[in-house]
Amino acid sequence: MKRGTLVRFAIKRTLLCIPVLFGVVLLTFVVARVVSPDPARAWAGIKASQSYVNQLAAQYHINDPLPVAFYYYLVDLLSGNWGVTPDTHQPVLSLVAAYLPATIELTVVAMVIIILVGITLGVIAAINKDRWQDQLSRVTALTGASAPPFLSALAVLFVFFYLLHWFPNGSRLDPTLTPPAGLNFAVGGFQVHIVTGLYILDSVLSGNLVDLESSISHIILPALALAISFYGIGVTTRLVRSDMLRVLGEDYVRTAKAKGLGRSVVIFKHALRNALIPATTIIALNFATLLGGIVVIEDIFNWPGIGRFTVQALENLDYPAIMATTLIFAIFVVVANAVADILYAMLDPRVQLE
Amino acid sequence: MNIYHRRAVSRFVIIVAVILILIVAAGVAYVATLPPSVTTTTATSTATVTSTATVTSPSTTTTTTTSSTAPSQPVYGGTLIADEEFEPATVDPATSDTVAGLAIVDNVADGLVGYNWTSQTIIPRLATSWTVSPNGLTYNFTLRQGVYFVDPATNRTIDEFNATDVQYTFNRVLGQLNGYVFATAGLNMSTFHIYDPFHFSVSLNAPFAAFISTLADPYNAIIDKSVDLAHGGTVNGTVNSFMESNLIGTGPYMMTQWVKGDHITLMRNPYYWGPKPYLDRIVIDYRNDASTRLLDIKGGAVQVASIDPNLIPSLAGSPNVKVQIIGLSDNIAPIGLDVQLFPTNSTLVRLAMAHAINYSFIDNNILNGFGISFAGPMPEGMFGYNDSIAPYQYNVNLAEQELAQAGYANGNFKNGTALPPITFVYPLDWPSGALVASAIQSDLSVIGLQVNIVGATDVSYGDYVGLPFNSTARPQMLAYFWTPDFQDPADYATPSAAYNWNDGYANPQIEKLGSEALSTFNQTLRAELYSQIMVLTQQACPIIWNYQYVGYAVYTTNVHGLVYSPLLDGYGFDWASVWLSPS
Repeated sequence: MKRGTLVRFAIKRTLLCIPVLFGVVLLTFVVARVVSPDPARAWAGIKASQSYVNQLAAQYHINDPLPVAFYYYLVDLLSGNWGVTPDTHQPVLSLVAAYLPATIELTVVAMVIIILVGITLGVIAAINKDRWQDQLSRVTALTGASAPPFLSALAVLFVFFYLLHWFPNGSRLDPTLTPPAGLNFAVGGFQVHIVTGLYILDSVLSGNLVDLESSISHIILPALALAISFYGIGVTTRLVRSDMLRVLGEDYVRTAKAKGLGRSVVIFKHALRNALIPATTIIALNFATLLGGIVVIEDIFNWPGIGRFTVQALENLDYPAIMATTLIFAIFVVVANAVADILYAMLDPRVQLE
Repeated sequence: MNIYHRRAVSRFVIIVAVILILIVAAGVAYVATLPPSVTTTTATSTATVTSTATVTSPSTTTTTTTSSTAPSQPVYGGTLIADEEFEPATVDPATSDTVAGLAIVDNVADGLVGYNWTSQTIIPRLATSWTVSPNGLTYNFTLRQGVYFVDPATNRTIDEFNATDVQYTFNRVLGQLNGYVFATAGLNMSTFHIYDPFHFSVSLNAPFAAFISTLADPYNAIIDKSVDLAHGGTVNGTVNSFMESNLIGTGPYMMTQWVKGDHITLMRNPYYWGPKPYLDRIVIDYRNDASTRLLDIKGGAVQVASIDPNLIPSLAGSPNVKVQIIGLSDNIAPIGLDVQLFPTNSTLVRLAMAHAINYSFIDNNILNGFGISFAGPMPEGMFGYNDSIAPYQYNVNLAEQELAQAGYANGNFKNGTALPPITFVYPLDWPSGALVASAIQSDLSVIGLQVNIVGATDVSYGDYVGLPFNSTARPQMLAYFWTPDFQDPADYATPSAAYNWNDGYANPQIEKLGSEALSTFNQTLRAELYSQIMVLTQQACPIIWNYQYVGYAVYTTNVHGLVYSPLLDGYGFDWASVWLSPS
């Protein structure tokens, strides 16, 4: 595949995300307006005074005709004005920005676990087909895939925290520590301060080993619970296993063996590389699927991420926050799908791009 | 063909492995639910408060027993971690209407007065003394000097507390959500007069015997005027977003960190005017999931945890965890019966429902002994409660007779058709609420009344409460729990009190009695008037009083000095007296 073709495809695929996201925004906007008999009251909160409700209605054009209201909603969205929470009047975007890094960090670590463990188990299962290693891997994968997130979370907590005391019980950091400061440096007389909100990364940037150790130990259990549940390790294991079995049966693998290449070279250099092509795209899609488990995992492990924020928003019927989190999740899914498509095109030279 | 293919393992081995896994899982589940042998200590006390400005209330006895041997001297230092279920939405005293938020306010900000829950008396805090005019209208206060508001960000003092902060706070709270307490008391801010920075007077529109009690309410904690103004001030009816998330007070602790969705950290206030608090730091973790809180305290990750009554037996096998019954709470869990909707518009039907419920089953089997029946409207142990008036008794025969007298024998109309179902709404955050609601549904079905249960989230519950009492969309039965705004029967006694009876019931006679009780400082007369209110309410039965909580705390054995506050009711504690023994 020509590099230029791939770049054009990547750009085209990225641009396709925009109408999809537009559709999501439109759908959530319409549903939010239709479901509530008094959208202005819903936006302001049930305890708001009528004067405040009127003020918000005018400010956000809530009672205007739908097309007009949608236009102003889009303008506000693009300019960063995502509304304020009815209870505390905090800007929703700032709350999203505060909660989002925790979710990103948790999801990334869970993905790392899924990739490492899932691929390993899948390879072991494939090269030991029908033996006890294969059976055990498949049983483990099936158990994990069948377990709902709350069950895997409680089981992980019970075993590794309560029984074994190997890891702490939740939160992102030991409560006696302050979040890592990130990176501070001066450039041409200006002070630059970089804080990502990803505690592990910020700890590394600031050289804070205490925070680093604490943030790693705190993230392991929720990430493990997330990786175990739903389409995590289980599905990855089965996918890698089946692709490995297919590839191991190919002629070129037999040729490699006949040439006298070592077993590990045959498995990892020739077979696994090709077997991972479809698996990689599925793993990219997994990133979005994991969001389904995020809500429960964050609640049980007291992880202050978007999932917990979403639960609170739903309980409180916090309309601005509900629409914001819906949009965030939609962005995750759309981007993950786009990345999966682009990755597939990059990795598999047999794919024909238009 | 897989060139690495080898012989398959026996399926029998796999089946055995799965069975072994199931056996291990079952064993773990069994261990986790062993029968209780929980270390329990009992403290019996009555929630009666005396005011330094009024006659002492009827005598009470307070005894405390403990089964553990505590070190003789409190120890300074340490960090205590507590698990609570609900995170505050705000820590602004003027707008925080949840106990979770007030639990923070109570430890960080002071009111003019406070409660000593051990001695059950009102004590001076930011006011050192006060007098009341003979007509009960005008209060003169002397304020404590040398008290400073502290900025937790810089750990430095900001301003010295004075009368202008009191005036600003009172005006501010009157214009906000929690202003109803002062409004009920008839506080007239146009009469607020500052003599000097540490002396002021203010008058009420009418005598209100419980006014001093309202000043101990965390709603009315004093804030720093300059801090509020520096962050935009507070306009009536709107909120100040800085004040919602930051609390600067004069209390024993400072709120130094709030990680939304995670925890709040309190650090000892080095400039505190009172006795130095023992703990260096308190971290309050907010964990929604009840199982997680249970694991946390059993696993030793936290020292105090909010545990639902039905989960107390699960603490079995944890010798390091103590469940202390502290005494009767002022928190009650009544069920309002809408007197304007069919069929609860019939007094006989309401009485039948009240007599059909097996209260001892709820108290002993669902609440595990952490609830008692009482005859409302005020909780047992509160001043004004008359012990000789019995709560509604479980009596199915009597209930059936009353229902028949109402014309609905066996829950049917005279023509034999069944009464339409009664809707019973309860809040989803009601501890053990689903179990209690199911038990009541079952009890009422015995006398022929069909009940549909609806669990409501905070917001939808608010929708129900906001409906007119004669609206058919409103449920006939509405459960709720009430924690007092201030420690006085005035907060409970009448349908128009701050405590809304949620039943559409109005009784001018009760209102007259309640008004009379509020306007006199004669405690004996007040007690008699509240007795009459109890009798009238029992006869009319607009509310099934259901149960009153027994206060308890769950904590590890190295925690000492925990004082239960009926105002915070287990969702928070006064941390200033708490200390940790070295582990």
